[in-house]
Amino acid sequence: QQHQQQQAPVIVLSQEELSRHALSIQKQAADGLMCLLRNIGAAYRLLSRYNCQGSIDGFLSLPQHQVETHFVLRSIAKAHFHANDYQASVRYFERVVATAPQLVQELEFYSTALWHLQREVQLSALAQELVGISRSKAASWCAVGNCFSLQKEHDAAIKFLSRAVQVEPECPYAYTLLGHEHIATEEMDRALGCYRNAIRISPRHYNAWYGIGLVLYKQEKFSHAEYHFRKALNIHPNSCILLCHIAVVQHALGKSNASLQTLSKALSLEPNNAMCRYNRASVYLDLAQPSTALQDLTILQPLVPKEANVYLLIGRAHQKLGDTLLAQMNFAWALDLDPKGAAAGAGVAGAVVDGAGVVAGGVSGAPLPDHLNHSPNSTGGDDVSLVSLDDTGESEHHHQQQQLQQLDDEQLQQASSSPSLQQQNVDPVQQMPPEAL
Amino acid sequence: MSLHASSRSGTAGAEELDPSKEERAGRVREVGGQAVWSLSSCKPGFGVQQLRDDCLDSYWQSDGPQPHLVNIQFRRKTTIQDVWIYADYKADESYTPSRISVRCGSHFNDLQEVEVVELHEPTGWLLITLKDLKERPGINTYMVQIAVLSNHQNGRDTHMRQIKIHAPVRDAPVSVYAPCAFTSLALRRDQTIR
Repeated sequence: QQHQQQQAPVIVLSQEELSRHALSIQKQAADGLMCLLRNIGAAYRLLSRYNCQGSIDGFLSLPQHQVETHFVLRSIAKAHFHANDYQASVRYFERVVATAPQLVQELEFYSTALWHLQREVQLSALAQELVGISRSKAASWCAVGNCFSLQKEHDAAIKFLSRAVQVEPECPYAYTLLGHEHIATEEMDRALGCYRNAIRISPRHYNAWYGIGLVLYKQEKFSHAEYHFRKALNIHPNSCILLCHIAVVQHALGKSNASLQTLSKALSLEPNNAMCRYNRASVYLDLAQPSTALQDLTILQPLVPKEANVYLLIGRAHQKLGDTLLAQMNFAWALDLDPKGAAAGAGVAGAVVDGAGVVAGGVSGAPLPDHLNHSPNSTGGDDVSLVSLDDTGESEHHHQQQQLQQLDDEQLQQASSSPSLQQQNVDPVQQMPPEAL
Repeated sequence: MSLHASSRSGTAGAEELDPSKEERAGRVREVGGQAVWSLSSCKPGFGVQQLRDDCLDSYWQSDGPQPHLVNIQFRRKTTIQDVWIYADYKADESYTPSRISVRCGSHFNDLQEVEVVELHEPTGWLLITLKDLKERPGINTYMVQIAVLSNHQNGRDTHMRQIKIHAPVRDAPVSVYAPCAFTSLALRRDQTIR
């Protein structure tokens, strides 16, 4: 009996109250779910309109355990990718792969981000992993194609990207990558075909519109190129690269004021963008406004200290202003960074030579500024090949040979004398008498 | 004469001439795959496939009268910058070519001799750079013919182990003025959308 008296008092609820209580719990859960889906949807919508910063903020404002899911991390990584922030994109994609190693959805963007950063080893590892997981998804073959493209083996890349297109005919990005590879092998008609296929599948694929614009630009059909770049810009309005390209095309068409406006708009979106500033300085120089160009160049130069093109521009600007010594100094620095290309650039600019001895003395006497000291650059082989005096390859700039004969500059002679040295070495070998057997 | 031979005793320690190094540097690309190759004569099993298979052990052996010809015809006019030929005197002895003539033109009856090179006991890759009339690198042409005019020790037939054709890469970024390639990450990143 004591047992029974010490039982906890039973709360008796009527059936109605129970069901009402259950309903309210369900409703709260559904509301919470709806709220979550609404937030995710809003962020995804921002991403689809390529409002990258907005979508990143939207996704990051979700509760932490939702952020750590495959879908959300993937979307944040894609948002960084479309905003051209490849480092952040790669960081997020690494987390994506850690979350669900067996899923390959949308990892083709991961491989492209690695391609942009030129990380060969990581890209190759990713490609092998993806192909190991699934051979029937376009993403794996896209990664392999990107890997070969980074190695400059464009024929192999075309083979693998065609495979990607075969296994998943409705993936527009595979067609776009295939188009880029066809441009690299100079097959413009096939490239156009691929891009058109991509647009047929997904009209909002701005990469494909950009690709068509690029082909037309290479064929020098500038107004058509501008039309297509603008279509891409309509889809992806905050892209500084697209604005830069449109500005370049407008300048080529002679609409230089429009070009400057476009570049200013781009710089207002991203004030630290080196490419926009570089192009704006070039346009100012072409419009014969060297002092305005120099303003931009002084901001640009510390951002990219080892860029030969920048020194060439500064040199040309000083030349137009009449500061011959400064011009020569900058041309010499540019030559130091990239002997072949800079020789063509300096030659075309018509570098003034006061007298071979004086100029040579002045130029070679100028000490190299600290930022030009040759420190090993972590960005890989490209820099080495530019700085070293490569003697077997011929320059693409056919002006170089003529300009080298015109300019009587000692430094230029030194820079280009190695091919002739090589040829001198050949003769003694050929004059050796054949050994009697 | 624009001939460079690898492994010369005079320049010990000089870099090994290697066409794939040039390709990887990104300044040239191999365009042999875009062309139709034909030979004046060949022994069965030693034909075009052996000449283009990226293997230095297999070779083309000719089987007819001199001069022996390799005809390379492109679908459209292509700018050819370098012709690389692998020849090895130690392996081929009297089959090694000693005089090679490179001719360019629109078709078989329109060929003009562009380069003649004399070889002496070559071992390795030979580079023949083609220049047009104004000494600019690269010739824009439909057809290239490589003719072997004579062999070492007056041999009749010739062995050729590998031939590669390079065209310059025209990969200028979309930019108002950029004679040099961009090297910094910030500028290279914004060169193109992929």
